[in-house]
Amino acid sequence: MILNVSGTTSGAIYGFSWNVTDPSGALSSYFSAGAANGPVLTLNAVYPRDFSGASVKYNGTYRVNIFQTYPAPTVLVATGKFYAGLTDSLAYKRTATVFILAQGYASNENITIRMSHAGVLASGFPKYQLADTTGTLSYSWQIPVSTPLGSNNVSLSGQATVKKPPDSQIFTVQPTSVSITQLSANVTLIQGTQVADFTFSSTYPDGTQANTGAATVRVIEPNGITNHLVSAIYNATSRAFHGTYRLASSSPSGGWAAVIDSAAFDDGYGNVGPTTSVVRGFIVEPTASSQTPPTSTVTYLLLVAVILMAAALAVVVSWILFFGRKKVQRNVLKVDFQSIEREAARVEHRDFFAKIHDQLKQQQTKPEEEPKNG
Amino acid sequence: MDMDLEGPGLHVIFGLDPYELPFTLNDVLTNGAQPEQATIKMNDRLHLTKGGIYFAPASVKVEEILKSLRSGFELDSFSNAIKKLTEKFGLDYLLVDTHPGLEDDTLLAMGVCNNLVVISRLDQQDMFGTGVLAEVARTLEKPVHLVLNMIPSAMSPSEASKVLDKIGANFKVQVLGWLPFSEEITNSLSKSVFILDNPRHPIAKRFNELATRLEGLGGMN
Repeated sequence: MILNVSGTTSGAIYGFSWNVTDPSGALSSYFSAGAANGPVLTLNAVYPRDFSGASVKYNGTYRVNIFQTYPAPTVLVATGKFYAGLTDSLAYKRTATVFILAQGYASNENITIRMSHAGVLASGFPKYQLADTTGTLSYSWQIPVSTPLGSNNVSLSGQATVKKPPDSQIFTVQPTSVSITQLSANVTLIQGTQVADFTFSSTYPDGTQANTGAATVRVIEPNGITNHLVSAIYNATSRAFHGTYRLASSSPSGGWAAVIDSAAFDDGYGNVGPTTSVVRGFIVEPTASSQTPPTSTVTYLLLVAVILMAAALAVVVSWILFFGRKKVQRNVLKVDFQSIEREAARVEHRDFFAKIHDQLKQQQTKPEEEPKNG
Repeated sequence: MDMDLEGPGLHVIFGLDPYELPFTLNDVLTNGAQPEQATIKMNDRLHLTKGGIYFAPASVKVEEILKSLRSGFELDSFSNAIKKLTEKFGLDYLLVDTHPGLEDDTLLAMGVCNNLVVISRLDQQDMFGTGVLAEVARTLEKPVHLVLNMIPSAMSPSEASKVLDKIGANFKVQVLGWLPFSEEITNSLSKSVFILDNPRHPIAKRFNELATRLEGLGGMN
């Protein structure tokens, strides 16, 4: 606390009594004096350090009255107040951590901690923790993403110590933000229809992943105007959000974009994101209807694929059962070189690849004129 | 250079507001800006006192992404843009970061680069992509160098090196090294350049070793 005394006479002595009344009504005092060396005298006091018998064991408002005691007569010259809380802030966003500090309990006393909203205890409460040898309790609570918004209450009660007023405080819980990461868009051909599959992760500020709620993905056609809305929901198997868009046979080929607009994701508890829109472009190739096998062939291939997958699954299950008891599980990375060659050939048959290839050859024939960069 | 035109993200790690620059790489590729106009010096932002780092971000605006995908790319004009940047800023190295697919923009990047560094995870999908890329690069007569990323902690260093060598031999590519999976990097949420914030972290040493090997591949001249 700082007291500025104006209108002082240089060389004169001034004395002040600082009186603080804590929330329980207890009064503590501190006397300070100083000689003025100009028209303003500044004096400082630190509560509870300078005040005899003072403490901050009660949460609430502490009232300050300062009396000038010298030169006489004694007169009230200043008033003020300050607040001592149990928590390190009065407002938090979900996923933030509330740090609680309380004094005035007995050494190693068992303290009951209650966290509640509208009289209903938060999940996992009450909790019990011992105060330290100085009677101080320190406790931290990370606010879950589903904690009710608005006023929440923390209250503490000791097994033996009875405080008046009791340790109880209101703090405000606000929604948190969610960031969207790793938005990917993959177009696959399923039974002659192109399907765009969108995947992304939602992350809270503490780094944990959201696994509830939904997002609206805006799918934009190459003209940049036509929009389609896709709902993406959480898939527990892949631990990511998924949404799909089936492209109509009349859908244009070219560069499309998937956009998750600002606040288009809601985890179901009112935590929304992203703060700025997230975009992922993707290419839709023209469909070659002539390459689409007849339905009966597709069904046959699907049947073969299912049989092969079942066989593969049986092998995997046997493998796990056989080696499951071993400490280290062996994974086998298989690479199909024929598929790789086929895919590489597909890329190399594209017009753009041919163009790049030709230009590179031209550059190689005149290296002096156009040196290579990169 | 953030060449992931379909979903740019490097600006996030560099703490750059994507709307800060009047021009981006997309403008350069569509002949709407000079390459140096779409480039920003990063030394002050990254608190680097030595050397120089320049960053060319890609646009995050939907209409510009679609425009770039529509417009097509020219090898010669992109080569010239890179040449211009090299001369203007006296670059020793130019790193072009692309997305994993083999689309026109990645083919363009492959066309202009002297060396291709493939960062791959140890999974079926990435291995397949690496194999395809190695095949295509061979046709373009571009050397490929492989880095395995996010190697699970259960795998011992010697085992990881053996796997890396085997993959390199199978795909006929040179191996540069491997990086372990780091939960701390994942938890950093791309908020900044992890190894600059954590220079004593073991993975920072791995990155330095990798950088030394990259230097061995030669520079711009």
